[in-house]
Amino acid sequence: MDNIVLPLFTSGFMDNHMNLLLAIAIGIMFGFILERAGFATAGHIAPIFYFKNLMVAKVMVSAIVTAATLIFLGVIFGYIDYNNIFIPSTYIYAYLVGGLIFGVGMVMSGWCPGTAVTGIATLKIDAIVFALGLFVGMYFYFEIYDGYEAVRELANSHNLGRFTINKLFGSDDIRVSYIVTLIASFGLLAFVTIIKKIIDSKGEN
Amino acid sequence: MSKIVSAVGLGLIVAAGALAAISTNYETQVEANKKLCATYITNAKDALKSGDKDKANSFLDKAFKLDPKNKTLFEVAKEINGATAAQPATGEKPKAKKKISIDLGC
Repeated sequence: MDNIVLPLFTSGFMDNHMNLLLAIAIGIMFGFILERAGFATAGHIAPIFYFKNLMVAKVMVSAIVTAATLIFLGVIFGYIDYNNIFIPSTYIYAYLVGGLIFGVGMVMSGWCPGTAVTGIATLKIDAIVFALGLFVGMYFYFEIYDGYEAVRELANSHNLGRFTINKLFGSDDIRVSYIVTLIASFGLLAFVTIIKKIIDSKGEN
Repeated sequence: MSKIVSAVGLGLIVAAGALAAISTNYETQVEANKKLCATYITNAKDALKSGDKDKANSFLDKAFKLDPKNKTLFEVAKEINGATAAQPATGEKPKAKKKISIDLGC
């Protein structure tokens, strides 16, 4: 254990074959937990957007806070190499447009790609339809990406690279990222809780 | 009951993180990086002993990112790449294998 650095694969302590096996094992656990937590039903996911049921917000905040804390502790005690944690590059405009499309789709369908796979595993027809729409959308994007220069320019413009919260505040100290993550997560939970209480008090839920 | 357990569990996790954030500073992270660097160097030496120069260089590249001023790093790099090497083989980017990255989000 003393000579191991996490993450195992990107730090060179695990080969590709073992990494894929581990990914399958983690995926099975993740799918099981998602299903048990109620995320295999669109009717449990969509209500968050109408402030009717805060289950999604509570689970997401719990997951984010737990992951952020474990990563933070691992980094400061020298078990995790922060440089080797996969963080995709930040393409501002592409992410804004993609996030908008993603958000509209999620509210309309009650699914996101991860939960849709869980829904498919539990044979939900709407999850299967969502996944078909997902693949059609991806195919459509690949076609217009190849066909239109403007789309390629938008998709690849304003790349900030591996941009983390602490860099946003001009610091190399990851405590900044951790604290902001806690504040943002609990702030979001507080926000949706307050809105729900307001709506409940007006008798609209 | 389960709600209470969940809330207490989450509270303990947050408390651990907050305590760590308060009781450490940037220097702690720098020291942690040095510790990681030493681990990579140890593994580079082990890789060299088993004859895997590429793996040894890969570990050295990672070590260099964490602590570029580590003297042991340069010594091990010389050992791996021969006496003519003045620094770890970080100037040469390893042949990049085509990597397909899929981020499905939530």
